[in-house]
Amino acid sequence: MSHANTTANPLIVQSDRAILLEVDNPRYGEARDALAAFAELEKSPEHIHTYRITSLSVWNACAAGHSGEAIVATIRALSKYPPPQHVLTEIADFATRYGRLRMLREGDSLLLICEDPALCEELAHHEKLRDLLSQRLDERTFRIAPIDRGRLKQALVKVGYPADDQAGYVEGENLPLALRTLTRAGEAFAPRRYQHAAAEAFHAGGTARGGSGVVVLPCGAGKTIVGMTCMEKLQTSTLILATNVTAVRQWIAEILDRTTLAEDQIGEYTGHAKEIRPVTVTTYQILTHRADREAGFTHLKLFDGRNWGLIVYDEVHLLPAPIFQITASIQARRRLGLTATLVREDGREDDVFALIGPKRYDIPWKLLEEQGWIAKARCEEIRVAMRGAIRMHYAIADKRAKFRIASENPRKLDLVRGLLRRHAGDRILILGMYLEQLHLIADELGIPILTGATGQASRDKLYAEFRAGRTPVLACSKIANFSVDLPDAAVAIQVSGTFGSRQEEAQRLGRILRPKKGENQAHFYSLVSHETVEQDFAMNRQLFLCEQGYEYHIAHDEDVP
Amino acid sequence: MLEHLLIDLKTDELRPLVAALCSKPRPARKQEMAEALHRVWLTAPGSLLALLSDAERLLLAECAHGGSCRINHAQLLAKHGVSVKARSGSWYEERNTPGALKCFVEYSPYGDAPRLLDGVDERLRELLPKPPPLRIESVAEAPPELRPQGNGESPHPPIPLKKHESESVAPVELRRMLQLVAADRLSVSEATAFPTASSVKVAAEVLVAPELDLAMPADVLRHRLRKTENPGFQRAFVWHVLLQQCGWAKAKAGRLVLTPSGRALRQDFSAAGMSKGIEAWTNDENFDELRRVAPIKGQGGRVSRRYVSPLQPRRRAILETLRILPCGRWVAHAEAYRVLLALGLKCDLGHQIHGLYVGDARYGSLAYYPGGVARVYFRQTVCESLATLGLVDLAYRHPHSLMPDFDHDRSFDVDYMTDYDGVRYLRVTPLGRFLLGLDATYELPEPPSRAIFKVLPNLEVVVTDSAAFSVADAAQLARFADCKSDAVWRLGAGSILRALEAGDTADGILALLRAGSGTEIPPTVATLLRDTLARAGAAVSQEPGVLVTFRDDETAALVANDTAAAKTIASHTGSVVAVRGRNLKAFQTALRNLGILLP
Repeated sequence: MSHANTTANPLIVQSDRAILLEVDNPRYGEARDALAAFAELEKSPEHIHTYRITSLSVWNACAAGHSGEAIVATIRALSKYPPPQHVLTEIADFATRYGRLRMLREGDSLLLICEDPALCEELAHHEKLRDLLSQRLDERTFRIAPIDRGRLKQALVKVGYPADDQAGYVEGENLPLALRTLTRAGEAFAPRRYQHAAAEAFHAGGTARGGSGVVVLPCGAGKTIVGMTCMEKLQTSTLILATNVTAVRQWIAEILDRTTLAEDQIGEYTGHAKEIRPVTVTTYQILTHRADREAGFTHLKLFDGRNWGLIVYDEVHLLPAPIFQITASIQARRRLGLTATLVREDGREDDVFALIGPKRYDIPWKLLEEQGWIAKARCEEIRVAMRGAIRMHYAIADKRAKFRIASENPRKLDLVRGLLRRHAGDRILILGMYLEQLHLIADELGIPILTGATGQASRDKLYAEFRAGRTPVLACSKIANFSVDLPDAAVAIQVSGTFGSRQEEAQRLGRILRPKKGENQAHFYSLVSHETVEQDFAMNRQLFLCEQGYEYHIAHDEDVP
Repeated sequence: MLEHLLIDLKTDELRPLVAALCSKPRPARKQEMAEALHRVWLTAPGSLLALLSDAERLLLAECAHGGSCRINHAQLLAKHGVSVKARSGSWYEERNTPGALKCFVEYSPYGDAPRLLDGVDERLRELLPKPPPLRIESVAEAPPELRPQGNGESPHPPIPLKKHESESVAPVELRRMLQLVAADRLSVSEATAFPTASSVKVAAEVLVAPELDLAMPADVLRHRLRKTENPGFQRAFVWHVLLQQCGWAKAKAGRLVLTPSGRALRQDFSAAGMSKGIEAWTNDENFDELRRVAPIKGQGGRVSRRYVSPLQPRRRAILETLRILPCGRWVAHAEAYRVLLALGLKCDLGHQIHGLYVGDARYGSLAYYPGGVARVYFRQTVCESLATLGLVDLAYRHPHSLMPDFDHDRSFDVDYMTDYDGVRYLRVTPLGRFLLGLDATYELPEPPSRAIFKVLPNLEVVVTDSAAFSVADAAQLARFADCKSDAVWRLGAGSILRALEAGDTADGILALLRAGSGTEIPPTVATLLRDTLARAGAAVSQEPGVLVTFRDDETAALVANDTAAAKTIASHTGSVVAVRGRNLKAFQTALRNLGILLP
């Protein structure tokens, strides 16, 4: 038995399967890279990062070729103290469960093969599985209907025996395309190394071992480029699901800008247009649209509208439930999930694993920040005093009204003015939740405003003006939260927000994380009324951002000249 | 006064003196003899003193120059190594022993210590030289081992002398014990206020220094028939008692809780705070250190306790002795006790300790060994209580088969009387000098920065050195943070409020976080503390009040708008009027003027 001094090691393994990683440890980099394979990064504040080992994280690792023994050995080698024995046992147990069931193709049908007859027997009698296992061929083999492939995988994950799906994919309609070396605007373009690596991890040389799964990259790291690189590798028709119309148009613009595809090969399938072309970009919203609660989803037929070779799920952590259902029925098609986080507010991470696929690639955002691929963000909460009559108005209001009164504190306007002076010359987004407040600020400062009521044409025009720098300051309502690509926004000033949602916060911050010229520094300001419920809510944001590893400062309005 | 004393002496006592001092014709009648001897004292006192032995003159000189005027044979022996006469200490015997000393000593028929005769001390100071000062033997370094005397044929192997150095340990341990008390982790028996076994275990985990190593060397152990028992967590036990003796904690419903002085010391830990504790310890009458000497039985009996002397003089004598010992030098334990006696002090339990015994109540009574019991008390108090508090360091060997405070031929059926029977040397520490009031200042060393956890900007505290993270550290964190998992704690407004309510301060919490993390605290944490503190302080005062409900809203409004009543009312809503307690009389009067009586 080795008696080497392990106290210099960087990991502390807890009995709840959380792993604490010391950032200041000399072996941090080594440990971080090792953990990325089999644990999910939960929090990354200064000094200590928290990872968590779950059954899914271990299965993700197994899908990537890691063994349970290797995971346990890695943990032992990097741990400061002996890891709790039950954690190691659980890891080994999780790992042995992956791959015991294999899904293979035989002609037109699929086979589920299990080398363990006892497990086979258990599955055959499991109430959630027996209807999905259409025929038992022998004591180790079941025949399954192709239509049940997804539902069976979903059910197997839930009972703790994920299937290794090697049944392969249908080859979609051929679509020749290549990535440009010069964009249409004439700028040099090539996918970054990590984008290539992510696409390759997904593609897996075109074998059945790849072709489905999730790529996790931080906001601003260029997930769209990864999607296009995968498309190039597969040379097949592609359906892209995005979160809203603006995102759809961004995808289309990006594809046109960076690939050899022509405009007539790319279709928009939204409320505005219903084009089905070799590459079609649509929204989750239109796909889940139905006339009434009893009616069917009229646009789900889009999945059968063409022989798609690849389906891309943008922001896969937002995938709505009906899309899971349809995805379960299209398991023969390659599926790529793109996201900044595997954490879902609804806790359906296992469905993502079962139906989209395991995590194929993940890179710590801090590494990208160090390499300059995303901007450094400084988050600053500025507390604004509530003075005069509004304070008493606030004091006697009910809880819901209190939040609004605090959010709309008129003193925030002066503070916005001060911040605009501080960042004169930068492109600045003013983000808010309350339209009246945004209109007031926009009117007072003479800046354009973008809300849900702004027509698409006006939006596109405003974005273009903003990108060109002719409009350096833009006020945006909640619609700016998702997939609005504002490449040069360096400063975001959040005058009000819901503050409850981790996703909203990440997305808002993501607006300014794309790399900047010069110091590559972004600023994210949140204006909060001092000693109010808004400050209490802001604590959630503070914790979230700190846990994401961002620098977080708290100042008071008098500190802003 | 002398003439009265001489008259009280017997003729047989006077006659030899007259024969030695008076020329013929010598007086024969008692009255004349007394007057003659008085004249000698007035005219030629030297001749009277010349009749005394050297030891007797030294004894009188000690009395006259010492100022106490008490005849103290033990002091004479301890200080100068001489004795006046082999005496049994019996008053009757002393009273009936003839000699010139009788002319200067007043004996009490009630058994009190004999005293120098009133009025002669000044004259004796002129006639007798001042006795030589007390000399204390000390060494700079205690020897590393003891070489027991053998019979020459089979020499005993040397016994290593171990050291317990308390100065740096005691403050750290005291802090931790206070933390445990603050965290409500220590429990005591409701009947005795002694700690419970589980509480001793908890405390033992936080102590810095190990227990005294009392184990018998293996080569000695091999030859013994009797098994030795592990004495257990003695210091952990003693800390519980000391916390109460020093007034830092008190027992309440089976738990130890901090007293105001304990809270003050915890908040602002200083040597001065410890010093106040020593003063409280001196005055404590609840815990007798002798109770810790298990082989001495009969201490629980009411009769025994009634006759045992008060604790305060015993403890003061010990502290007085330590004040005299040289600081920073090792003094043999026996020498230290000699100093106590040489100073004219004593820590006897009194002569009426009939109920105390060792082994068997019928045969082992300690009433005949008051000196031995006093030495046991001295040893126990210095080596356990005062060493634990950091006043003295100890150099010791294992105590087995030693019984240094009793005659060896008194074969008690115990292996040793106290755990400290093997203590050979003790050394007063600089902290001890300060606590004894000899030095005006003492700077406690800053507790070392231990970096046992990290404070994260997301308000988590993560334990990174679980080996060094003690129960006290956990208890301390638990006061203002919530434990989330094995190594993760979370700070929150609720947990901080809880700590503030329990008497912690934001600065104190920050200091603890800094000390435990060894780095500056993230601004988010500092802000949380500041915000919580600011909000917690929003209510600036409180006072009692009375809510008075009227029959209907209109009557309440009538009262609230009455000029006299309105001055006394704090607020008014609907049919309810709130009146400050201090205004109740005036409000009652105003109500009466309105024709309304307060129910």
